[in-house]
Amino acid sequence: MDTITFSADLESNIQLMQSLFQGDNTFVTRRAVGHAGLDCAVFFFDGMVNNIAINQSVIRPIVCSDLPRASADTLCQTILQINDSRVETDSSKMFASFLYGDTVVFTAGDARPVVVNTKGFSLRSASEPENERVLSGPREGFTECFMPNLALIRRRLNDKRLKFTFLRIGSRTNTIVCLCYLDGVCEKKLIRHLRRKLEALDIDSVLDANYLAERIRDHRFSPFPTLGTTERPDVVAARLVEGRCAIVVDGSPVVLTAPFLFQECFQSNDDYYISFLQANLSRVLRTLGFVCTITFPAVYAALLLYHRELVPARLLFAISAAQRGVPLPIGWETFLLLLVLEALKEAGARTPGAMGQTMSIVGGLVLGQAAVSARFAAAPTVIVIAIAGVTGLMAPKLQTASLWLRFALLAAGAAYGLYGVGLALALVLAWLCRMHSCSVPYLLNLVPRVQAEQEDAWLRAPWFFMRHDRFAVKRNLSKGDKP
Amino acid sequence: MKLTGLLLLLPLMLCGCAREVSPVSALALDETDGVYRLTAEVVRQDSLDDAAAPAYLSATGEDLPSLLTNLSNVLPGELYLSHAQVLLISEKVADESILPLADYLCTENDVRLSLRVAVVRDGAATEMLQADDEVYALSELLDRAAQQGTLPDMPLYRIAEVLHADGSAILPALRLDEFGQTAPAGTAVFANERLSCFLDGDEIGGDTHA
Repeated sequence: MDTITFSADLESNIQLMQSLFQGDNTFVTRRAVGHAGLDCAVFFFDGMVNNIAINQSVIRPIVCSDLPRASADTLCQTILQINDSRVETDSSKMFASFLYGDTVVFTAGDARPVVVNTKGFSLRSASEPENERVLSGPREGFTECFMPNLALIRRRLNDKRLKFTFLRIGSRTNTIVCLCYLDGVCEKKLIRHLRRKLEALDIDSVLDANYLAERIRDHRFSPFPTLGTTERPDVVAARLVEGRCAIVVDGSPVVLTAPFLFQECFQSNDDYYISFLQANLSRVLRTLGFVCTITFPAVYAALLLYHRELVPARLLFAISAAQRGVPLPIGWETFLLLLVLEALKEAGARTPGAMGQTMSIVGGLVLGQAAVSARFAAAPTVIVIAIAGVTGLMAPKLQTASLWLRFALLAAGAAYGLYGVGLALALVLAWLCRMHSCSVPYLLNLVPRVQAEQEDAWLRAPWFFMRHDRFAVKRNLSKGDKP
Repeated sequence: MKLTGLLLLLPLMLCGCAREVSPVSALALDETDGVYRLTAEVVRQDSLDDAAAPAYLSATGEDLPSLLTNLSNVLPGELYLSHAQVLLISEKVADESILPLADYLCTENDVRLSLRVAVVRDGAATEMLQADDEVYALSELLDRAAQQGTLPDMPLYRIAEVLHADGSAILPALRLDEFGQTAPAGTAVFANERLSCFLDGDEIGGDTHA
């Protein structure tokens, strides 16, 4: 918003404000005059403010005031009975606060407005996020409301070194974005790096954290995530303790964390709240699940197209029998069934709750059975796709990577057999080795180097074996990195 | 993105040429008046509910390459020897040098080096192959006998190795018993790459009853 200059004349200030918000029916102007003649104008947006606070802490003190005139400072310091009010000389800051639910008070004879914190819009409760449920542990989740989200983080980290740095991004939405970190634990280079990236953004709107995530992450075209996302305050607190930064976006329950390492794709919140024996088994299963979901269709097609001799005889006979009468070759059949699986997932995700379950049953069981009976697809292929689909759900953070790699490896396997699959996997590994997140190597800790850093990489060591500084994420600036 | 999608799809175009195969589980080689007859036990399974059943197809020819070519001509699908586990040869075939046969099979890409070769006593190899109506019954019998030590454990690669070394080898021998069932029948002894004699179970100190 352009800079606007107010005058000491209250009437002209009222006219100016009304002209600025002409046509907005939620804009409210309230004239308040005290016993002794104190003349003030109160502006706020209906629905965004706490009416009780305005009535009791703003209007009543003005009306009951014995002063005939008061400056903005006097109004702020002695008359208004509220914990958070300030005299704002920067009009852009004043309007940003005003548009966000604060109340603006002008007094006759002073051009400076008083901004009073009276935010009071309705909030969703901090319920457990649907896609990050845990068996045991905290059940709170972030909401779309900014300050309560920060409070959820601070409640878990009672450390004076916890810093919240605010920025405003989006020329239209003017969204508040908060950079959180633990001073002294998080490297200053990382903070500067993220801050610079955020400040360099020149965009109209930020309506969700993903608006920022896709713009500031490294390797923007990679299907592997290089920024963490979570809706859980306990996860953010853990990441901050590990020396990472968090980015909280107003209006979004998703908080970004950086840097994000490949090992985090296989970590779950539950891992830290249940026995390490159970957690490690789950973590191994998740890793195997990812490998299985990307390679299973490709290996199946490669084996049956090029390497039948590797298939046990009786299994080969059974698969050949099932394939008899199916019109498509195995590569295409697998490819099309993978597409059907993705279509079913999409339909299930977009349909409302109860209908979504019906959709899954109809799609998964009835359609699969009918396709096999009608010889559109062979039963073993349906089983392979089903296994790939189920195992793909085990590492939700890698769903995009699973989706693309499944098709890529299938194409390689169908064209060049197991050699193609091997080559494609080698390329993926080389790609992962080249990746980094905020200048931290993406595969950090997954290659054994220092014992302490292995305590929470592939497996989680028991808590009693962990050292205090086990988590610190050390940036490893390599030659070409420009933080 | 379009290019990436196209590149992903293009390799799939290459995989439309997969052929139906006729997997062979066992082979039998006979010779009559200088003409060889190769019989293949081809596995057939029409649906997942059916059991794998054998079907027998034969071809004649002058030598092994022509036999395999003629056999592949009568099969419904591609002759597929990777899952063949047994080769039965009759006494008449064994009377000739078996080294060229072993060498040829060793160099054939499809044939596994673990293929077991057995000599059929007192009868045609084809007859023995057709006596069992269960797929892989012969190979299971030979495997079990080799594990128990009642028949020599001689896969194809070992036969070629010992024949190349000094021309002598021992192979398992089988015969059809009085009930028409396949039974171990001692050991076939080869000298100078040819069948020399048979040793019964008593003579080699083992029990040949399966």
